[in-house]
Amino acid sequence: MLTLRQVTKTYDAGDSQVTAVKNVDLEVNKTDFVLIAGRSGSGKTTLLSLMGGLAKPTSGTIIFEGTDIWTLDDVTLSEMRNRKIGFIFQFPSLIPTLNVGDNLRLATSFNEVNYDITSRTKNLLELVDMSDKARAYPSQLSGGQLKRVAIARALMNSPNLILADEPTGDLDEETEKDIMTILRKMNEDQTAIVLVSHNPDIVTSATRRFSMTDGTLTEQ
Amino acid sequence: MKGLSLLQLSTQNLKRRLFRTLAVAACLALVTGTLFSESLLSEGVQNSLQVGIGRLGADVMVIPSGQETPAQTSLLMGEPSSFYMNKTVEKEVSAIEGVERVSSQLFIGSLSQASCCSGYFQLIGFDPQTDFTITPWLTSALHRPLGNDEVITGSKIFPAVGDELLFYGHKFTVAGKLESTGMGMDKAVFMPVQTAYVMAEESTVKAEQPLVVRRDQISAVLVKVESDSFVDLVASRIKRQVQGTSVITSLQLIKSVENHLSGLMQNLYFVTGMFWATSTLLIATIFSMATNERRREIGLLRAIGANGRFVFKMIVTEAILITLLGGLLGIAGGGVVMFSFSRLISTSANIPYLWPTILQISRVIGISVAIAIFTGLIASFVPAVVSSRMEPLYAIRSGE
Repeated sequence: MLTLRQVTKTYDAGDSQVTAVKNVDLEVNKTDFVLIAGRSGSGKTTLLSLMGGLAKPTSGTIIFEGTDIWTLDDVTLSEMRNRKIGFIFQFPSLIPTLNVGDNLRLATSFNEVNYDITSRTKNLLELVDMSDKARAYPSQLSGGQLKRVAIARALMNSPNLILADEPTGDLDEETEKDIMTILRKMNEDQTAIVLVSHNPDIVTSATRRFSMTDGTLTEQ
Repeated sequence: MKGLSLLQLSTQNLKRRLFRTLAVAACLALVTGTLFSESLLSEGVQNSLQVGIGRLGADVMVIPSGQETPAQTSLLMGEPSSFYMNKTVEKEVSAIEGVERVSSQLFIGSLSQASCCSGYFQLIGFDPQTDFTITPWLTSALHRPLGNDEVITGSKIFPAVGDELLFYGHKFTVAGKLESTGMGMDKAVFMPVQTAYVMAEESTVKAEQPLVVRRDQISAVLVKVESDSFVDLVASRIKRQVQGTSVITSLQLIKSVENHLSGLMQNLYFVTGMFWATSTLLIATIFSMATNERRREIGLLRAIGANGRFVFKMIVTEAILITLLGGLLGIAGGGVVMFSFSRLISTSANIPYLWPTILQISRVIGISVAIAIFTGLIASFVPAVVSSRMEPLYAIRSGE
């Protein structure tokens, strides 16, 4: 489903250049639950962003469902992200001006969808145990609640791939477990998951494990 | 089926950042309000001139030589003035080639702060037999000749029809009121010229200060030029052939006001232009800062599926909504200011003013709204383009 071939990403950092991702090769299948572990600054987030088309590689190709995503124009690439990829970020990623319900509906604002948005929103909020917070604004939610809503939004368009960046960072143990349970359930429902974390111990259900060091990816 | 519309998203963003929204809107409201008031003032003066000159009905006004300024001030602003010439001028003017009809008028300034006068007004004695400038514009038709002690008043004279007025100790009853013109005739009191002579004669015993006007004196001759004659040509013939007179044509009157107005308006528009440019820069800076602050949010939107065009449209829509709000507030504020102070502005700037027509107001509103929206467009264009072209990951990271 997702193939990375010799992907490298280099940034300008003042006078010097920083290579965040070095010649990464990776194949993700639709039933995979991939864990990428590594220390902060090892290039995990950049790699995840490259997979989701949020950043353009300096070299190499990224093929999603048979298409080199960087041959697509902005409109088509954005539509692909919207319909087929769900992002869960490590930081609070809800739009602060929208309530919980509208944050979920936001995922359906860019392209036509063929399902009932209201009932889908309701079902997903039930799934993440946030039904009673549909009208709450992000500023009124705790860190764990924000993560749950972000997961629900990532699932809104039934994506084929979930890219999760430290989804349990800064959360208490119980919430961590809840979120991992939701992600495992999504994977059982044939959604590929790529999760990056600096703490590999929390992910017991990963089917494949990688470690990332200084931009280089190694399968364990 | 789609979720949130662009408009809903933009409106939510503005609502949740209410202080910034209102601050930008207020800034633009000041600019739009100023511009709207100025345009309304300009339109009001044009309207007043058009209506006033049209209702005056005369193409040329013949007055004693050297009295151009007081005559114009009286006509435009209703400033009372008295000047006289011999009645024979009327006959001489009527004999000039190109003159269709003439009617003489007698200008008398009433006394201010005198118990024998109801107020300080321009009194105008007109000849009911020949008049073509006053009686056609009564707000309700007077189906009879004006009685000896009856007067017609301009729209800005307070007493209503049936009320009494006192001038030089002579009592008058208001028999009719003229429609508003915004010009001097709104502040004038019209009476048959014979009554004016009687009032003058009686003033030696009834008034605090006698009025010295003889029956062979008039102040002005209003001239209607034949339709196939040129007004300027007839005016120059009058000036040349009738000794001791000057002429004021309607065109001269309009030009004189327009010259006065254009100087005033140029200054006002210049200041407003500078104000607009500064506000646009300020609003552009605020938008730029706001989009910088929202980089992560914009990156998130891109990650969820918004394309660059959507981001561009969202920022521009927000800008248009804010500036539209500011524009409408400005228009409302400017309207209130003009409604409350138009008379004061007219008097202090020495210009005639008549509240513009619905069509004129609609046009000014349309232009003001367009300028407000244009301001929003140009102020938000650069931030919108920059945000729409930003790499999503860069946007997310630089917003951290």
